[in-house]
Amino acid sequence: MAGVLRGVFGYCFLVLIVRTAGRRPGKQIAPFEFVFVFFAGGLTLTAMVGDDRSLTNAFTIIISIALTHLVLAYLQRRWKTLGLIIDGTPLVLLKNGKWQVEAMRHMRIQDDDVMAMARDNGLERLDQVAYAVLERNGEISVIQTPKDQ
Amino acid sequence: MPSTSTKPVEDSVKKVNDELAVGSDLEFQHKWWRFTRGLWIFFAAVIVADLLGCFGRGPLANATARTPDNGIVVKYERIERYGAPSILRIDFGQPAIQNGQVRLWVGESLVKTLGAQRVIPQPDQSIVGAGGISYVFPISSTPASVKFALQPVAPGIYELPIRAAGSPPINLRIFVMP
Amino acid sequence: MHTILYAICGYFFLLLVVRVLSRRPGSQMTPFEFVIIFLVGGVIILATMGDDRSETNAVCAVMTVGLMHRTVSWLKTRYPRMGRVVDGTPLVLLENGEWHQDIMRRLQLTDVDVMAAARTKGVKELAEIKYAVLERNGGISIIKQKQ
Repeated sequence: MAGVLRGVFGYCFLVLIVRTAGRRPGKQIAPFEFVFVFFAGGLTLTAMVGDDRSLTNAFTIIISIALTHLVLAYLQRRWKTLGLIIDGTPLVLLKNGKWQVEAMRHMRIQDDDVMAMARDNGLERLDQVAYAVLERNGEISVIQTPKDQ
Repeated sequence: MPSTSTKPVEDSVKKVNDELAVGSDLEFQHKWWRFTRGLWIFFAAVIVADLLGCFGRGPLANATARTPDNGIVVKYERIERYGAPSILRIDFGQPAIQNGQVRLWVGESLVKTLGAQRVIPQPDQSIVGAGGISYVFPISSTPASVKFALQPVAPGIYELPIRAAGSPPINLRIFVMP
Repeated sequence: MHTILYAICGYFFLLLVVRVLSRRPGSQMTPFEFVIIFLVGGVIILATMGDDRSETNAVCAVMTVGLMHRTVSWLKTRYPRMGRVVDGTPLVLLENGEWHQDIMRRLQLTDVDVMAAARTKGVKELAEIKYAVLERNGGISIIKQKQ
């Protein structure tokens, strides 16, 4: 019983922390984000397991975490607001040649981050970027200015 | 070939500048940023409270209870944490010491819920009964003290009555955090 | 008290370890680096929690780590120098057909690593690359030679 509660609580708490601690860790996690995610996860884990290091407890916790995850994923599809809360919404970082300062500041993204993604798409300069969008998975997608202009 | 249900592709994702489909929800995002700010200010407050000991293991959690005649003085943590070890210390004054020994009675919650692991020093005698445990400790010099190593077994609020022969009883209330 | 101090120290120590170790080829960390980071991290986590495995303790520790993360990312945007310390700086590996040898040697990168990144962008040979840049997240981005 205690194991199940601890599992469910730990999972929800971690989702909240990771979601609100600033930038969302994307597909390519920089070392900096890795430290945070790993450290937070490990600390939650020790409390989840507590003093009961039996295999039964481990299985119970794993199953309850998995179930919580499934339930959240299901609710997220059913109820749009929850989707927004858990995954957030894509944000435009650069459009019409202007930085969207507010979004950049809140998400703690620098022009370097956008340029790194632009280079990854084979662009050489920032003025070749028509749009930069911070996606929900934490990646920055870059759309090139049409060539003929 | 088995058919699956299909739906025509519509322009369902909201656009920026009428050309780039992004589907961002700025209204929500502003609310979210405000919420995040408030949440982390709250978290910072929680950490400060924890440093002070509001949730146990800090200066605010330490407490002392004594009988009017100073027969027993109990140093304990009024907020304990589930599964975390701590020490409850009882000092005995003159009124509680009779014939070179102390007869101490503590409520059974000491063992049942607060999880007393060890008693230092070893009592001469310990008897279970009357909703608690009676100990007899030999006393060679004053001041004398006894320590109980606690490790709470479940979260909750527990009453811990303590009584020594020759001195009025005291009742401790200990809150165990999850 | 103990936990919060340990969490703060542990955060910076782990950041240092990851930062020193993780500048390696490819966008993903190698299994070897993962092993070390998990070991170091696991030990720090055990030390941080100590004998107190209560939910209260873990919640406070996680909040501390989260606050550290937010503070450091705020400092990063505020002071670019801090950003360089925490994240490093992008480095040019190949420029107009010339290798930057000293950088390649220090980072233990080989032309094979650059070519591996180039292939994922559909580049068939090294001569087609105009610039290769090692990004701060460890990925190598490739800018093609104009036709």
